[in-house]
Amino acid sequence: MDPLFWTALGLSLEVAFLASLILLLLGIPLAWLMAFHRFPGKALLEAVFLLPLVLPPTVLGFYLLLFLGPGGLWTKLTGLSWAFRLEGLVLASVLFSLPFALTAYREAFLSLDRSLLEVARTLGVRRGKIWARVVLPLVWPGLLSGTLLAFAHTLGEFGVVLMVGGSIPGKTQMVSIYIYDLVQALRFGEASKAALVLLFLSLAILAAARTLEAKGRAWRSIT
Amino acid sequence: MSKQRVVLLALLLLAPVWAQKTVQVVAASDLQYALKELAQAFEAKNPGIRVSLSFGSSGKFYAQLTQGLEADLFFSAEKIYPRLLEEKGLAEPHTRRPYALGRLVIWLDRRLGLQPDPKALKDPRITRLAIANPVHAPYGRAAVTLLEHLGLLRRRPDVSIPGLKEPFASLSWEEIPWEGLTRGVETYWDATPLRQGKAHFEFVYGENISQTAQLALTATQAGILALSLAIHESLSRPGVYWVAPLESHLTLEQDYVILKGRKRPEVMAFYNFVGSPEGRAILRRYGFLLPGEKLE
Repeated sequence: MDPLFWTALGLSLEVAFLASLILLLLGIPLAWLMAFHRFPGKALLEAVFLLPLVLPPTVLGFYLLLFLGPGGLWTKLTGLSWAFRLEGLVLASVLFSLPFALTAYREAFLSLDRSLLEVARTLGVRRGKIWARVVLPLVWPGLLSGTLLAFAHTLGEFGVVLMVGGSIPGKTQMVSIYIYDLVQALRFGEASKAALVLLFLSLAILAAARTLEAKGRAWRSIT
Repeated sequence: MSKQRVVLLALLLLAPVWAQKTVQVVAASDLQYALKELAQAFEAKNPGIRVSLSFGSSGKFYAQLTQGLEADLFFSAEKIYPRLLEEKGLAEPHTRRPYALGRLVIWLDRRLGLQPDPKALKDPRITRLAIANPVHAPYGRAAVTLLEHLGLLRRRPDVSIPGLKEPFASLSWEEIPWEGLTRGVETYWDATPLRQGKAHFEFVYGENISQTAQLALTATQAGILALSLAIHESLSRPGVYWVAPLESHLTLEQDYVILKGRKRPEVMAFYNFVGSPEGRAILRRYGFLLPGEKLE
């Protein structure tokens, strides 16, 4: 395998890892809000979060490029130009993988037996302790499976990443684009080897996510 | 919000710092094979320097460079883009230089058993023709002008193009506002000569010239490609090609330029290597005509 493949895969894994971590921090409060709170404009907000599921990647990528480019709002506000850089790729990945994480997290929270929480609260258990002793033990399989889904989706994303990252080998060339570039260079043999690696990797991650989901269900039926 | 931003920034600081002494090149994809060999020859002579190559359509790279894409060198398939970069102050002054003249070919799948000749495009089995997207790829523009020169496309006298005062049909090749031709070649040109005797006919557009080659190889059996790609075994073995005379299409005068603030010694070294006898020999081998040279 070409060393550039491992570079591209490494970059993809790095971007996916950073994006999933940020999604975990960002997604938990958001999903909690979605699951248990009512407020005006909630449906609209949910729609906004789900938008990357249906929006053409080129549209999302295009807006991000305008946002992150030299004349963009982000650059004006922070002085940082994130287009065609790792930072921009991470930001883009957080956005386009958000619905995957958020939906899974919300499902996990919704399946919580709320009477358990209420019992704990009436017994005077502190909020932090409720999270540590009741919520997290019940929802962690769901949270992890959502994070894995977001991770796998980031690994596989193509359109947004092409727009926001360009394709600079070793810098912004993620593995999906590396494969695309191989095909364009008519190196079909190497492309199929690389594609096979990605196929098995994605399959493994999805299988892990499904196993976790099933575990979450089993856990709940015991408690 | 600021908390999240701090977390994001902290995470990003953990990102690896990439190796020093790398020359970052973005190049027209007709250089796919030639520049790779050139970079290898250069690296062999300069062990401390790595040349990182990225290929795509010149128009796309031009757009990306104006949007903050970072690169040291830009090899365009047409001189217009480096000139525009220079005018915008995004290129180092006085570094725009021609490196080659691109050649255009009509490529045909060998299995069709056709003679490599423009007439072959009229064969009823050729129902799709791959060309690069003329909106942003110089080779696509050259392809359209070649078909026009061969009498296979005719400009429609009745089309109007926004912002254009003179009739479209009266423009010279250089004056065609390619960026505006976003509705497909057949809106502006009449393809009857290519269509005659066929159940259907359509153009298939590649994002750049090497994707066009991929389309020709895998899907259309015919395409208008760069000689520098057609010469490579991945296309010359499964196909045959006819090289278009220089005067039959929009010229592909290819310039390269150093981008603003990127005039480092290693960049200069590669920049100069391209024009050296060794660099020129490699480009010549891929069918490029070199600046200051005439056809034999």
